[in-house]
Amino acid sequence: MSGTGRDEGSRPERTTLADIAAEASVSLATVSRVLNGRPGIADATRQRVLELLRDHGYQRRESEGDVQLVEVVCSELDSWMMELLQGVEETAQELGYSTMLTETGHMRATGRGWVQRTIARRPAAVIVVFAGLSVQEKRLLRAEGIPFIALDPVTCQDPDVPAVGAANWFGGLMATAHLIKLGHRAIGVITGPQDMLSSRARLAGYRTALSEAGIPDRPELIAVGDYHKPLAITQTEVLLDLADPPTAIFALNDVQAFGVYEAAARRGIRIPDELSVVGFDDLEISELADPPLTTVRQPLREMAEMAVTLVLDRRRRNRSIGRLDLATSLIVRESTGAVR
Amino acid sequence: MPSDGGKADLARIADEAGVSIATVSRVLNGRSGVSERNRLKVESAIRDQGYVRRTRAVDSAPLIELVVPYFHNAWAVELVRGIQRVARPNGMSVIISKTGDHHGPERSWIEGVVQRGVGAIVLVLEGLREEERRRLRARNVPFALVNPGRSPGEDVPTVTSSAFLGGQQAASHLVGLGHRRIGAITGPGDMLTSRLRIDGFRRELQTAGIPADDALVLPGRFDRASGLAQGRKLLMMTERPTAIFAGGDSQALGVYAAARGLGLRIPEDVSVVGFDDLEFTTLIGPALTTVRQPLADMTEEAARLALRQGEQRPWHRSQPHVELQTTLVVRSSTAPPPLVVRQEGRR
Repeated sequence: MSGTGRDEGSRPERTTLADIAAEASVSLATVSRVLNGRPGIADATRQRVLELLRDHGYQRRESEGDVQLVEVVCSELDSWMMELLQGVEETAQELGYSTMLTETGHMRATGRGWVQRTIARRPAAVIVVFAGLSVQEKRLLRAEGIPFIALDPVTCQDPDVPAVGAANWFGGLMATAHLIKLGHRAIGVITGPQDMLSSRARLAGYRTALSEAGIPDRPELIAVGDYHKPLAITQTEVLLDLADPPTAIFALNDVQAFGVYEAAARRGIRIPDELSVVGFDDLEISELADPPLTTVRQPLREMAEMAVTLVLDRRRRNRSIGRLDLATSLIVRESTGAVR
Repeated sequence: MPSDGGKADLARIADEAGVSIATVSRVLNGRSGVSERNRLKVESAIRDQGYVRRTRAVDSAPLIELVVPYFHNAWAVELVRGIQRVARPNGMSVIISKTGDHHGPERSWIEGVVQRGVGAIVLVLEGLREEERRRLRARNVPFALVNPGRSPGEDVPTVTSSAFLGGQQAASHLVGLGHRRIGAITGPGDMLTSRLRIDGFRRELQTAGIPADDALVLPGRFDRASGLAQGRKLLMMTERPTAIFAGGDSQALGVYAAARGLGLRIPEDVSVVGFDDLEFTTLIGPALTTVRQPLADMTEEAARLALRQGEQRPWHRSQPHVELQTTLVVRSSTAPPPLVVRQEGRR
């Protein structure tokens, strides 16, 4: 876990703006303009100054200008969310911003009212994690000139919302291809919520891998989950009760894979000898599961860093950002084996 | 220097920005209906004039601020959860400040607190400097401390957990299973809660008549990396301990990794007990036996106490100190030591 050992680390030495100006060979006024996001500075100069500010860990004095807040709006908190939040917090702090958390309590519909309170706070940027934005919310934020970005967007209905995500489709494809290569033909899936982009994309990757291998689709092997453990346990039992049960299960997130583990343990089914399991995420603890979980790694930390950097950059340059997906990779551990 | 935001300042800003006073006011109050161009002009003028908006925000967009030394995932989730239980029903949001060390926030922190319009603060830190306490009080920002290193004074609400008892509970469980050679990895030596945990652990061993062996107590931090490094050291001893008490669950994760790396099985070869009871304890294999410290309940209670104090005018001098109980949660990472099993087999 990074962010550890801080309790004994030392703080970077305090660097003044004059030091930065000297090092960048620009005037103090220029540094100040860059720091305050003002226009009228060449991109190359701005870049150089920003890099120096960053290298020196310069913390913008909070009495200068706007309240320096990056506001994270999320549906609910869990370890997964916290990994993203940690990435946001660290990147924001490096850039001199504090991180604020607004939890709305719903995965898709964000709760009413948060946007008014957010606007009153005038954060430098809003990062919407794993939740949707209504037309009204987008309109209000735009009207107020508060830039926003979606991190792991839940829908593709918002082409006008800049977003950072993961290569979900390709991850689904890799996980399934791995199982096929091990000889599995009956591969069960426990999806996320059906209307969520990440789940649909991973499932589409699964289907593509099957069809590439010429394995016919068996709809009964696809069980709908909600990204949480209890329903995954129930759905695993449903899959295992099929007349022709799967020899492998692809859980579309790691937490559900642990639900598969639990359902298998209850029936005395050994992993991977009798059932192979693949997850998606690669949580910190996934390598310490018993057996260590084969999974698709989502670069959560990097996704968070990218979102913060892009949205704050957008604020400075007023430049539009598109959608960006970071690469996923298959991490083969011990929960998958050749079909018997 | 920042002024107090009177009419004269609005006029000056309007003049510099070349807009009406009404427009300046709209920008200041976060209203819509101002063009981006005018907003930028007004904002730029505001910055030049050093105008500080009056902290209307305290009433309209209140925040509860959580101050933590670092941001270990699963641990921080619990802390934030507790605060959210108080924030959400009150329409408040949570802001998280990371200090980077557990002794106190940076000096500039307090300016931000005031600017942000924070309604209450919960600090999970060893303490708060006298100067900061005074400045927060002067601005009527109530605060509460969780697991402080020393009493912050009777006028500060405080919430702790029974850390000494928790150490005793861990040791007592292992001794009850038949362990005699028990290793421990501590938290930071300059944190009271981590000293209490190991002191309780030692006391319980002493009570059980097990001679103290300082070679088996290694210093760590509350993180996975120190659990891995020190866990390896303990498990590579020629006469290795049959059980390890980790000062925190994240550290226990490191011990798991160390055992796995050395080809040792938990709990057959070595038992492991953690401290905290974080979310992942049931997801790892085997599920972790741990001393539950109700972190979310603790920050929830602290947030309530701080808000309650904020409603009092004037603040009462004597504020509550609440101690929440730790409990042992037995899962699958602890079992009788291998030696005992072998001896019984021979009989």
